[in-house]
Amino acid sequence: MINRLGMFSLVLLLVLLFGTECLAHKITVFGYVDQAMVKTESKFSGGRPAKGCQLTVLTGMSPVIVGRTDEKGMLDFPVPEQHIGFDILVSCGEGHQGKWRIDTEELGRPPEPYISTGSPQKKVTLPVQDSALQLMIRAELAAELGPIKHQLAELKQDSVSLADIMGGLGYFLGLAGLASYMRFRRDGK
Amino acid sequence: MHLSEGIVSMPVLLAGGALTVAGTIVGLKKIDEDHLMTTAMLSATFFVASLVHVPIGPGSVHLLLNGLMALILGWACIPAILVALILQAVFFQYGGLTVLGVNVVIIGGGGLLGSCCFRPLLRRPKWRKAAGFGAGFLSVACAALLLCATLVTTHQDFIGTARVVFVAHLPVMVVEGVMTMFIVSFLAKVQPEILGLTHD
Repeated sequence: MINRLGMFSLVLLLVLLFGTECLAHKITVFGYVDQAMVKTESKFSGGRPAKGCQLTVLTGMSPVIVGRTDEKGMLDFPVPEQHIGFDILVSCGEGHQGKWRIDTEELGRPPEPYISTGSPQKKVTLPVQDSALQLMIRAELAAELGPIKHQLAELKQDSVSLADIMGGLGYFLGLAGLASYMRFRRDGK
Repeated sequence: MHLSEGIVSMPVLLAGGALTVAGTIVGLKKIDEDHLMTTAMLSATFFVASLVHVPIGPGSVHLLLNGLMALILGWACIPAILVALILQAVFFQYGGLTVLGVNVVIIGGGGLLGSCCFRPLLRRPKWRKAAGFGAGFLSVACAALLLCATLVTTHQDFIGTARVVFVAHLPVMVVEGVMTMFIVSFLAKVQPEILGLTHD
């Protein structure tokens, strides 16, 4: 049986749940590749930009600090030279950080394929130049696909939903019910 | 107030885990079985309260209610906070399961430390409001100090961050103090037994 304090706690819980804007206290990071650049956006779930946070790229080797996010929580940086998948880690102090994975497939083909010429001792590399048409197509595609990639990246984020909150509250009731059952069973009531 | 995974060093993680295990055992032994539902409700309130955040500076802070929980539940607040933090880690990806022990020590330990010195004052009606405010205020202050200590013991580079963290929690200390003061005053009138008091 719920006593008066239980009722009071329930009311307080409901006020917190519905009377205020529920915003998660967590950094969410998402990024996508736009031509030779990686575009990132970091925010607290709820939409507030995570500004001035340190962004680090983890390629499996030593982490590389890229810089700090701007006023909108955004930071763009060139695709790492290794051209392999990497993690983007954004730290905002107080031990809060978020991570986003960019896989190798998302990077597309390397921007500058090289042809080797000459003897093994004295190797000369020459970049294969893209034709003007290829560059134009790539730029157009990037402009068209940029917003879609942004939306897809946002959709992949975990966000706090009412269903999550209600599910969590259900666990509390369930645990309390289980503890009460065990107690009454032990006491033989 | 929740530390994320991958920040805290292994010795600190282990120490936090060990303290949480010990605190949970003590808490489960001291739990008032007549108030299991109350414990669950307060745990659920903590679970939701952490979602309400106040934007301050570049980051954000959120309500804890650890002082209130420690005042009402005593040591039983440790298992209550543990369950709430597990569910927050699973449902909201707050904190994380590996840093669970450290987060319980920060929040629960802060609540116990902050509220213990004000608990005797609750018996004096004239001092009750001040005791409520002090418990709420000091519990967040202790939690913030424990968080700072965790960051600094993990890495010396976190000293600057620790200072920012403490300053950022000053408004939360005041808000929690005021909230705890009103809640304690209300409870003292309607259900004084919960606070270990008798009807005035």
